[in-house]
Amino acid sequence: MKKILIANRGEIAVRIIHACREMNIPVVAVYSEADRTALHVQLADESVCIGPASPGESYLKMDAIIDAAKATGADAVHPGYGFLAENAVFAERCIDEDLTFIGPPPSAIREMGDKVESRRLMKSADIPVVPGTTGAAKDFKKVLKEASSIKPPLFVKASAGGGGKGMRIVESIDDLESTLKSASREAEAAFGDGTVYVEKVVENPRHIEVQVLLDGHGAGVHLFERECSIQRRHQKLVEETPSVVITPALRKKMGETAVAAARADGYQKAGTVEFLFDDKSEDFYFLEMNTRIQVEHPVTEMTTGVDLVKWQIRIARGEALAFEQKDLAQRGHSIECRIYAEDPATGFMPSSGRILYLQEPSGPGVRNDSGIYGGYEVTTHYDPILSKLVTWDENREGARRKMITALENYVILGIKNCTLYLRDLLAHEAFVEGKTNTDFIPKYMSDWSDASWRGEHEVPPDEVLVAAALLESLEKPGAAGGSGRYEAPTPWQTVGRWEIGGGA
Amino acid sequence: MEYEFLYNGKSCTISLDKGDGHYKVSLNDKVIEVDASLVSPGELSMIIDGRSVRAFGARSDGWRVICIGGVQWVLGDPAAEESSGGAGGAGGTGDGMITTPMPGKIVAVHVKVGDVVKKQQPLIVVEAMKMQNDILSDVNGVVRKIHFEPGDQASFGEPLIEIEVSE
Repeated sequence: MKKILIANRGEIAVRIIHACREMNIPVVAVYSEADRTALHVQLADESVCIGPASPGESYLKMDAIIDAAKATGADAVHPGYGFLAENAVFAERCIDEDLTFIGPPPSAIREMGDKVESRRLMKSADIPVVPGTTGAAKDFKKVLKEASSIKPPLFVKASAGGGGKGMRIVESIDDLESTLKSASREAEAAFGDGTVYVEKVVENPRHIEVQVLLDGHGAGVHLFERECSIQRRHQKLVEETPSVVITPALRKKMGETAVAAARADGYQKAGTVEFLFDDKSEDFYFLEMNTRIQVEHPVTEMTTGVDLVKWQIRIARGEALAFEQKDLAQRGHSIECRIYAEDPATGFMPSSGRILYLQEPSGPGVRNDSGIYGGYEVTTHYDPILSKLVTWDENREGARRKMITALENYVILGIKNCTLYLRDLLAHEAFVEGKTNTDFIPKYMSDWSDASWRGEHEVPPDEVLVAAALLESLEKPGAAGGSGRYEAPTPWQTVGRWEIGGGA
Repeated sequence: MEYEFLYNGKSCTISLDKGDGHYKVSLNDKVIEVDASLVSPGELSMIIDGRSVRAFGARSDGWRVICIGGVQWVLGDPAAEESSGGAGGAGGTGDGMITTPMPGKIVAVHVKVGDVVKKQQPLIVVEAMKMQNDILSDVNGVVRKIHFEPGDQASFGEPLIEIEVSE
């Protein structure tokens, strides 16, 4: 592998550049016109503009990306996550153009991309899926007979469904027949297809996933679980490993199941098998497999000492895994918080603008995978993730406290972000107690506001006003004086005189 | 030296006197002694009664943000408020196309299509950095098109309202 093109942007592109640098592999960045000054462009060895800001005209444009690889002599493509990472057509195109696709075989992506197909595949490999009726049917009698063995509550879902249409919850088997009929009528009206099926409702589940690594020589391992239950509208906010509810026996079983699921799919390289976990019964069910590097991969790296991105590259180069399952162990506890450019005080409205000042937290056990810098202009064209703040400590409580401290020391001025919200989330009694089920945000955080940080007063605390006045005075060009009025619009123009370490 | 800041529309006044490496700060009838040092651009180290306080600050057009202990406070500049009737002010160039002077959330639209508007009339309220900014008309005319509804997010320079200019 002589040169890797990264078909992505933001923090993950930066993360992959780090891995390539350390492996002595030259890197090509691609960027849209809106990303000319993005960090990944600055850090790469070569950079190619692939089109306008709109993802459809740049980061999703296969021809432009393949042309960029050809023009720069790159012989491999790392897709990161999102964009084309789970696009089997793109993976195939790369292979056809003699480019190594740093991801699984296209067939494995395709099979996992089709939810009905992956469910069938998993069932045939004896992987537990959410109990339900096999195949959709219009024959209510058959559905009823199959469904009667599953314990309610049940979901009735439309086969052609989406957006909640045709989806009902049934609390008692007695209501199933009438619900099947009405859901079918609704589905017929909405989609022109009245086919429905029945699935068990897993109440307040946890979302627990298992990281796997499989090489091209038949070896495969799991790297334990990550719990990602804390989500807001299916967007993960906080992830951690190990999960407080997974016992060593369960961990072993889930890990082995995940490797078996990946093998059934003919999988290679790094992947993640997602499960729904039922606290009450301790049952777990296959949900889907993500055929890419995950956003939350750092918590696994922190606790296992394995660099997942480097292993993706090594496996793509044909190398065999250098360790077996028995060589792997989890040490300590790691938590990740996603730092989004969103304002939790206004319903997570995306925030854009220039980062006027940035100070990233550091210290023992603190990692920040970031795609930003002071002066960077945050646009609303792409995913609002700015960085991923990760902490590690000997145990969960240590990692939790370290995260709260790190969030306090994370200063991003100029755009809104969610650090205060995350501090309250991590300090919440329910988080401390590990009650991190998927209903966490609606249950404990729905009435959040920053009022508790503002106090009762109508004006800011004294020290805030003192700091504001002092900054006015000290940053003014020439002297500690001036009119007290703003004279220039940006801090960079107004910083004239400053002192290091000395008194004023 | 006197300084005035706006917080949620309220005025806060503070005065500074520079002594021998120290500042005497007066606010709300109190006098506080502060040992202050600007350690790098935007980064202030204060020692107040032996207590070490680290503050970060940045400013943009019409506002300043201060961060202490990870909590951010946005302070407005009264001068900018006066000159434009809001930190945002009028977002037009006289051709009847009103654009956003800052990215933000549309919190209110005061006019509807067909309304006759006058120069300096508030048209729309954009919330940015916790401040509500009235966007004023810079022309006399008739509202022809409104591009946003309350709750929408507008990015910098986007057309908000189109006005047919009358003489």
